[in-house]
Amino acid sequence: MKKIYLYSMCCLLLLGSCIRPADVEVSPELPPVYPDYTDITIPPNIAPLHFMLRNDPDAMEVTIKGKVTDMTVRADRRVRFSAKKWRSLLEAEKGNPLTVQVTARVDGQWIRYAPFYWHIAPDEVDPYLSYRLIEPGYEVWNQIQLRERHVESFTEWVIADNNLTERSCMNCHVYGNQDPDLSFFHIRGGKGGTVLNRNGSLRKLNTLGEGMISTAVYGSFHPSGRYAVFSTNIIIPEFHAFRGEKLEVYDTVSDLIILDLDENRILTSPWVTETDALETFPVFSADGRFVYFCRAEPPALPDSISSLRYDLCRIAFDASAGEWGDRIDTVYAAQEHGKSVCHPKTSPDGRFLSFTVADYGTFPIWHRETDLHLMDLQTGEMDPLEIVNSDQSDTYHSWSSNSRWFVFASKREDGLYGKPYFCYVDSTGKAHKPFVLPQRDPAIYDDLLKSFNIPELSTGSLPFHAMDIEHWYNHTEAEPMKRIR
Amino acid sequence: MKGEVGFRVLAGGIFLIACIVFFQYFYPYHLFLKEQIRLFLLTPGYILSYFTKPASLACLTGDFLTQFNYLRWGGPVLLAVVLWVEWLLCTAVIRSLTKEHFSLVAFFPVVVEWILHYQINYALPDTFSTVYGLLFFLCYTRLHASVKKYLIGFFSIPLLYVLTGTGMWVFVWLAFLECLYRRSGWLYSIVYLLVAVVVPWLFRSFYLLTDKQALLYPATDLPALVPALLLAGMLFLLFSRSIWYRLTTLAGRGVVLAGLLGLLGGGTYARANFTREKLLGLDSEAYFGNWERVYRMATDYQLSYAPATYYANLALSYRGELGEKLMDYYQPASYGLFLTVGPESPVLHIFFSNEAFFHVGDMNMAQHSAMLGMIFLPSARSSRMAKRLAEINLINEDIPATEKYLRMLDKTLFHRKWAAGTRRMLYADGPETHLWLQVKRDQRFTSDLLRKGNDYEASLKKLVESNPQNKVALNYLLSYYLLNKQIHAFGEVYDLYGKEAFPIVPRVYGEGLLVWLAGKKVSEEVLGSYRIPTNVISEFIDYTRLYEAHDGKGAPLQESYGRSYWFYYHFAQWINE
Repeated sequence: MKKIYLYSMCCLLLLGSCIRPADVEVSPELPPVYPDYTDITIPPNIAPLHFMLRNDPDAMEVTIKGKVTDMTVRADRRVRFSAKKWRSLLEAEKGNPLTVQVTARVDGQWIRYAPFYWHIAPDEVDPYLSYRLIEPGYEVWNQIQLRERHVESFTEWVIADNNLTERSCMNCHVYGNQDPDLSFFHIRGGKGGTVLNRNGSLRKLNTLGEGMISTAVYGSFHPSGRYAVFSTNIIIPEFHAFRGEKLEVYDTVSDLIILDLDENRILTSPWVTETDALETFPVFSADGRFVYFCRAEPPALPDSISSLRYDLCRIAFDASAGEWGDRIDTVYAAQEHGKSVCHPKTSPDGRFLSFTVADYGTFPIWHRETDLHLMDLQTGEMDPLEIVNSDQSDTYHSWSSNSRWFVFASKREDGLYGKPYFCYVDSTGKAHKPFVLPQRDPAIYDDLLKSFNIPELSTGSLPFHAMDIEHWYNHTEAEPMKRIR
Repeated sequence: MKGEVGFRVLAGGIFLIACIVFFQYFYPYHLFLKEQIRLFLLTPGYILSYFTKPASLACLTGDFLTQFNYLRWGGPVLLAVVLWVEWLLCTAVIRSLTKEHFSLVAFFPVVVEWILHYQINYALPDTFSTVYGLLFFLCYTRLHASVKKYLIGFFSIPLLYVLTGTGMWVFVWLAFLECLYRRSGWLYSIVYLLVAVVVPWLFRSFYLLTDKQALLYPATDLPALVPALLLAGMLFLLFSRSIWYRLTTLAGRGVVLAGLLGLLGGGTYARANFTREKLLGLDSEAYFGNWERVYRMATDYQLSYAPATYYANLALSYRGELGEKLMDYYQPASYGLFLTVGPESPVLHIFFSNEAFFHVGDMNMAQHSAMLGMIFLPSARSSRMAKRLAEINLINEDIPATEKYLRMLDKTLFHRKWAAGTRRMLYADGPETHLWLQVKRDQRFTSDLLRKGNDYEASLKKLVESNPQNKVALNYLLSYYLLNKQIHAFGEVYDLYGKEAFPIVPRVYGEGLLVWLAGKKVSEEVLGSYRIPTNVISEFIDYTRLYEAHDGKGAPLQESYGRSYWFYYHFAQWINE
């Protein structure tokens, strides 16, 4: 009796996923797929692209056809793929397009939608992604976690949690050379400092050198791993009043510094400190010979905030001598185009320089017009990445180690909560339509009240965990840095 | 035996009724708030998220049931039933260890639980931790004393921690007492205690909790363990036959009853916060849109407390009487117009702070405050704030952002209807069919302004400039100036917008205008152009005469003019609350 009951239950459960389409109506429209996974390019090592339909079907059949193989999945509302079959499919179809045919039963009627395509790129994306999960409370925080996600699966873990560090503010986590053994992030508060993960140990740096306007803020590593360049900023948050625009954060003063992580020295230069100009968002070039950064002559703030515009500039750096150059070059005179540049990032192969462009200011998260741009450093050509950008903020990008993929944060869905999107840049430099980080449950983004901040790619898993950061916070002495003028 | 059953039924019934009556008629708004500061979604993903912290089952059950607090009577009935179940379990535990009925004694831990529920941060998950701990212990006592039983107990401890959090402690203490009572299994009970100490520490790194959080989860403070400790302590005493013999007598029962009533009365006196209950009453009625009720309550309570003034002012504004009755309430400068939000602000102030911004039409600051209101809650989720955020984005004509919150509310038990109604408004052809929406949209800024979060003056000025018909913002701006004694700014704004907006000068504005005009020494002709009622002018002359006659002392003026703006202008001083 018990067995019969058990079998009956199993049959009932299976029945839902075994319904086959009948009397199918053909629709010329694409299915209302969420997340938008229509006509995208994906890496061959991405986790299964689980999705659902927004029109509440009660049964679905999804057929994926490639050149070599195919796969059919039946589901109720949410389509989930077996990880094993998914991997086999991507492996077999590497470099090929996949045709995805969705047939769904909505209000009792089966509908076959127009097919869409998944192009499997020949190049893999770095398998690990770190990001900060934070409520988009403009400038205020309460619960912050830095997490790392294995993008080939759905495994995710916490690398730092401010619940364990007296609710201190935590800034985003940044890798050097996409290397999990070289990274940093800042923890503010009494026992905070800059967490430096390097050569298998966690160090605490006090980056406030003598005469500096603040501790280190935005930064990036030198390819050698010995140096890191940072901005120091006095940051003012203020609120907009008008409809879509929300928060404006601007600097009243900002400078650049380079930290020598071997000698605990702060290297400064009169060209990028002690000037009236604002300098911020510094990054090293792929070969480490230049520092790219954003630079503006400040207007009267906050009244003239809309004329605060940053150009993209660079200054040389001699790593062997630890010396700044003595000339600033303008790489992209954004002001001349009525624009302002933020967050430059060079691709690891040195070919591209990507950055975000907004109408003005230095805080693009809440600027809807913010778009990513790609500059080919070999030809000087600029790509406005129309296929990549949306009508909401698209910013904070990070390259994959093979320079074929970048990840960025976009608020395209609701204008409020940022999510990580992956974009493929093929060997010709052409960017493809991006897609959002797949989740085990595709509805998770609907229920989440947090933003994914500063997504960063890396080739391996970080060697520390949130509990190590708790120990670091409570028991590690901060190393002072000595300023060298 | 029959008498005992009857007594238990009677005692349980009285307890149920008393609990329902108390929480329905004397403390209902705390229970409403406990629903508002949560957002329970009926989705697999959300339910699974409970397993990322200990006490998953207790939190899941508690939070699910807390949704019913949304209904009138829902919270009190639910809490009463849960406490009644806890009492039954306590009775059963006592019986299982002493073989005697001590129904009355079993009320002690439950009464403490009742008292703990006076706090905002103590909720049903905390009670369910104890309930599940008791329940598991009762199942455990059914097992025959054997190695198998002790092994089950041993392996259940981590499971209990995962499912019930502090319920683990309840079980371990009771298991220890069981060994004490049976005088066997000492070694096992000590091992249980040691394991219970180690388990939170071991699981801490998995759940990412501090030491204190790991020990007390889901509670936040030690008092949450008092009910279980009290039960354990009582059991220890009841092992003494002389004590339990005394308790079975009529006199003994009388003593226990007196003790219970004393505990409940004393606990209520010491722990129940009726001022906060009044404040939450103002807040909840505002949330339900009962502004007339808010007005009546604010008038009855007359609380000298900035957040209470905040709701009184909002209610006056909804009634169009801010300029008329502003001085009828305690006014701590402009802190009763907008609640200050800063690092030291109480969570409730942050939670309330969006209401005024929303009311005057400053949608960006309302959104910011609503987000903060949600962020600083322990759960970082709130059904009420989700609704407010949906409304704000509906007003801002931002369909994707509105949908974000409506989709969440669609998945709730009691807010899905509201979400459906709001969605209809969102996709309606023209907003003219929804007067409320049209009015709110008209209130908005028409040009930009960059301001600090607490620069209320700049925001209100810009709102009035954007839309001089926004009488709500104009009233708030005029009141802001009056309360901050910026009489010159008040006069200028009144000149610019107020003359046209108020055909009949509201009393308090008239009083303010007289101060301003007197300072300017205007002619009678100019004074007449303001149409200030003659009785107000006469009273001003009288007030000035008395003020001068008494050398600027306030006491003689208090009785006649204590509620006038002139008195406030001369004598109100800011003292930190």
